[in-house]
Amino acid sequence: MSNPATFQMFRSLINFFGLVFFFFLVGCSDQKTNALSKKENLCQHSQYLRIYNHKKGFKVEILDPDQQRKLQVFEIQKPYARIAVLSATHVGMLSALGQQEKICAISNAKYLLDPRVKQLLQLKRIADLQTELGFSAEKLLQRKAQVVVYSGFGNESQQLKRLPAHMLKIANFEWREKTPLARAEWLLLFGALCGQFAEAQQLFEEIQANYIRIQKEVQANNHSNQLPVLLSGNLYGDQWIAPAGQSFEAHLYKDAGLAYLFNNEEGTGSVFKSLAEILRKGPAVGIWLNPGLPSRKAILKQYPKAEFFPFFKKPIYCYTSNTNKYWEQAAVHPDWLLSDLSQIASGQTKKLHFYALLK
Amino acid sequence: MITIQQAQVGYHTTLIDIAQLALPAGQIYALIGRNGSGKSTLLQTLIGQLPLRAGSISVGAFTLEELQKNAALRAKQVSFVASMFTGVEALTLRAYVSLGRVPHLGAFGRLQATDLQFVDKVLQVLNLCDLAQKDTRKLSDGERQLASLARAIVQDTPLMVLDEPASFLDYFNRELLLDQLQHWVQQKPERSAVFSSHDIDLCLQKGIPILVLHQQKLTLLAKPTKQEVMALL
Amino acid sequence: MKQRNILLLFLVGMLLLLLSWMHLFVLQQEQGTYSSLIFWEFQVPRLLSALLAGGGLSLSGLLMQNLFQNPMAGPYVLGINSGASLFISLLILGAAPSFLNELSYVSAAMTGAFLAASFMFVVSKRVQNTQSLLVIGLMFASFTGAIEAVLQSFAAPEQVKQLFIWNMGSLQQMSAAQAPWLGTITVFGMATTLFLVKGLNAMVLGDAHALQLGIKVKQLKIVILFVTALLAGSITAYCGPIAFVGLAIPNLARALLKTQDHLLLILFSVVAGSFFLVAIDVLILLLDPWMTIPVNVLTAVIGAPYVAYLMLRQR
Repeated sequence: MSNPATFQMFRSLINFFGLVFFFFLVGCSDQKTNALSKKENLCQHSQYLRIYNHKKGFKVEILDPDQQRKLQVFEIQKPYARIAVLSATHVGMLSALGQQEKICAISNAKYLLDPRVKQLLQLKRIADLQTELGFSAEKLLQRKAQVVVYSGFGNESQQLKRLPAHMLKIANFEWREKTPLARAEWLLLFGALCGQFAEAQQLFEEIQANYIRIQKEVQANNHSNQLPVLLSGNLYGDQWIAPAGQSFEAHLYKDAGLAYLFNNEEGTGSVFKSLAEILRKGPAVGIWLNPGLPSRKAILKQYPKAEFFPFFKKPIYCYTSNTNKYWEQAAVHPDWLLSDLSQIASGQTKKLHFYALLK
Repeated sequence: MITIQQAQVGYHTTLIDIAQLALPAGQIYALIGRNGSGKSTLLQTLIGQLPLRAGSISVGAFTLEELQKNAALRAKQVSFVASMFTGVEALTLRAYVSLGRVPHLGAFGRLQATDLQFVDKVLQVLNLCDLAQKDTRKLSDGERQLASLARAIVQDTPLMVLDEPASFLDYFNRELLLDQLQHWVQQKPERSAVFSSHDIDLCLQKGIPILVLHQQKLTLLAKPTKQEVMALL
Repeated sequence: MKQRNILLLFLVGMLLLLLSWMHLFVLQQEQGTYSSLIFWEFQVPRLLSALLAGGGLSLSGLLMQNLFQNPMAGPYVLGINSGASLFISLLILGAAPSFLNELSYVSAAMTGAFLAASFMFVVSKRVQNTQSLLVIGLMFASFTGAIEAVLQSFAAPEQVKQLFIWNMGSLQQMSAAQAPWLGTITVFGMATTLFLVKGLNAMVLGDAHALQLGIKVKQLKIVILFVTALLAGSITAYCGPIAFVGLAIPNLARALLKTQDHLLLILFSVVAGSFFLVAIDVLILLLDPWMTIPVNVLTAVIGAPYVAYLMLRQR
C-alpha cells in the first residue's frame, strides 16, 4: 500500500465494498460472555448486543468486539422518528420492519434495493450522505437526525466524533457476529429504536424457526458422509481470501451441508492462502462460491489464468446477480441464505434468493 | 592553429567582437579578463557548445560550424577541462582518465590494449599512478584537476580548452598544471591550448602569451609586460 | 579488480540458476504434485515474471539514474509506474471491452511511463538536489493517484476491483501466453541498452562533458527515455507496480563492483535484479506454510531500509 494511487483505491474500495473488507479488521475475541445481571437480556444469540427492559423502554449495551467491553450503553424510552443509517444492511433491517419512513439519511444511494427507500430518496425525504470524500457529517446534521447507526468500520467513527453529544450514535457490529442468527438478531435494536420491538421480536422468531427447520431438513436428508466440498472467495493479487473456519459464513456452509475447505482454519474473520495451496487443494473442490464477480467471463478478465483452476469447470455461484439485494437483505434473512446454500449443496436449485449460477 | 575572422560571440547579444586574430599552434594561451567580460562565453564558443552570431572561427582544418554539426569529429579536435570536477561515486581516477578515450572507441566503449597503455603513460607523466584506483570523490582538488588534465590529454586533440583550470588550486599545483600543459603542447607541432585565468603574474613569469579580453575586444600580447596587460584592462 | 567483478557476476549468475531451479522444481513440487498444465501455466510464468521483472526494472533504474544523474532515481520513486498506472486505469475504465487486448494494455502502460518519465525529466532540469526531485516524484504519484480516484468514482465496482488488484503488484498474474510478449520486449530493451554503453559511460560526467567526448547527448537521452518506458511500462503492465528493485539494485551494483563501466553495471544489474526478485519469491514460497505474503511487502521490507541507508549516506 505504499503507492498513493493504491491507497486511493484502497479507500474507494472500503467505500464500495465496506462489508467485504471486514476481514481485514478481525480481532481476536474470546467466546465467554459475562454472566447476566438480574434483568434478562432479550438477545439470545448476539455477542455484541444486549437489550434489557428498562422502565417503560429499553436499556441497550453494545460491546466492542475487539475488547469485549461495553462500548456504548444507552436507554431508548421513546421511539425515534429520524434515523440515519450508514450501511445497506441497516436499511435492510428497517425495511424488513416496514419502517422506511423513519430513515432520514443513508450513506450511499448507489447501492440500494428497497423500492420504498428509493422513492423516499427521490422525494428528498431521505438524504444521501455520500460525497466524493466519503460520508459527510455535515449533511447528517442538516437532516436533523436523532440517531445515527454506523457499522464501526474504517474511519466512520472519526467523522462521527464531530457530531453533537445529544445525537445518539450506535455502532452496529452485526458484521462481526459469528453466527448467522446472531447477525439477524440486530433487528431487535432497530425494533427498539422505532417503537416496533414486539414486531421485530416476532419477525426474528419466524426467521429463526425457518432457519432451524431448513437446518434440520438438511441434516435429515444427509445420508452419505460425502458432503460436497466448497471453496469460497477469490484471488486478490497474490492472496486467496476466504472466510475463516469460525466465521458466520463457515457456520452457514456447515448448516447447509457443505464441506467447507477451510473449516478447520482458526479465526472468525478471513484466511489468506497462497495460490499454490489453492491449486494443491483444488482438485477436491466441487463448488466454487463467491468469486465476487457476475460471470465466468468476468473472472477470466480479472485473472486470465483462472481457466486453469481445477474447479473452474465446476458450478460457480455468487450473489453478484443482485449484489445490492445481498448486502441489504442477507444479514436480516439468514434463513433465505441457508435455503440458497442448501439447494446449492444438494445440486438441485429450485428458487434461489440471492445466489445465481455463473454462466 | 585558431583563426578568427569577423566573429561575433555571445548568447543573445554580441559580447565579444573580433575582427581578425590568428593563434599559431605550438603555444598555450592565457585568456585574461575581468569578471563578466565574457571569458567563459568565448571558451564555450571555441569548444563548439555555443554557435557564433556572425563571422567564422576555424580550429586546424575545420570551421567551428563543421565541428558543431559533427560531435564525433569535434571530440577528436577539441578537448575541454572545466574549473572544477567534483568526482563521481564508484568512478576511479584511472576510469575517469580513460573516459578521455571515448571518442576513439567502438560502440560498446571497450578500451583496447593500446588505449590502456596510453592512459597509463599519461598517468605516469603526471605522477598519478599511485592514485589510479582511488575513487574520484576521495581525491583532493589538486589531484582531481590533474586527473581532468590527464583526461583531456588522453583525448589526444590538437586543441585543448581549459576554463579557469587553476582557480581551486594552491600555488604549487597551479605551477605544476601550467608546466604540464606547456609540456603537452610542445610534444606535437599542431597542438595548442587556451585557458582562462586570473593569475597574470604566474602567466607572465612563465612567458605565456596572453589574450586580453576587455570591452568586447580581444587582444593578443605575444610577450607582454605587466604594464601592457594592465593598460588593456 | 576487473577479474573480481567478473567473478562476482559469474557467482550471482550461478546463484540465480540455483534459485530458479529451486523455485521451479524443489519448493513448488514439494508441496504436492501438479499436473504438467499447472506447471506450465502457473509455475513457469511465475518464475519468468520474477526473472524478467527483476532484471528489467533494475536495468530501467540504472538507466534512469544515469539519465537524471542522480543515484536516487528509479522507476517507482519518480512516478514512472504511476504514469503507467494512470494510463492503464484510463484504458480499463474508458475503453470498450473489445479494445482491451495485449497490445492496447502494453502500449497504454508504455505511453504512460514514457510521458511520466519525460515530464519528470523536464522537471528535473529545474531542481538541483535529490530530495526535491524525490518530493516531486511523490507529488506526481499522488497527483495521478487523485485522478485515478476520481476516475474510479465513475467506474463499476468490478473495474475498480480489477485496478485495485493490479495495483498491488504480483508475479502470479502473467499467463503463459503473455510471457513471450514480456520476454521479447524486455530482451529487446536490454539488447538496445548494450549499444548505449559508451554514451552511458560518458554521461556520468554530465551532459556538457559527454557532449565534448563526442556523445550525441540529446539522441542518447531520448533513447534512454524510450528504453526505460519500454521496460518499466511493459513490466508494470504485466506485474503491476513493483517497488524498490529499480532503485536499490543499481546502487548495490555500483557499491559492490566499484565501477562506472556500464557494460559491467548493465550485466550485473540485470542478473542481480533477477536474482533479487527470484530470491524474494523463493522466500515467499518458503514462508508459505506459515503465511502468504504479497511480493511488494517483501521488496519493501528489504528494499526500503536499504534505500533509506543510501539517502542517509548521501548527505
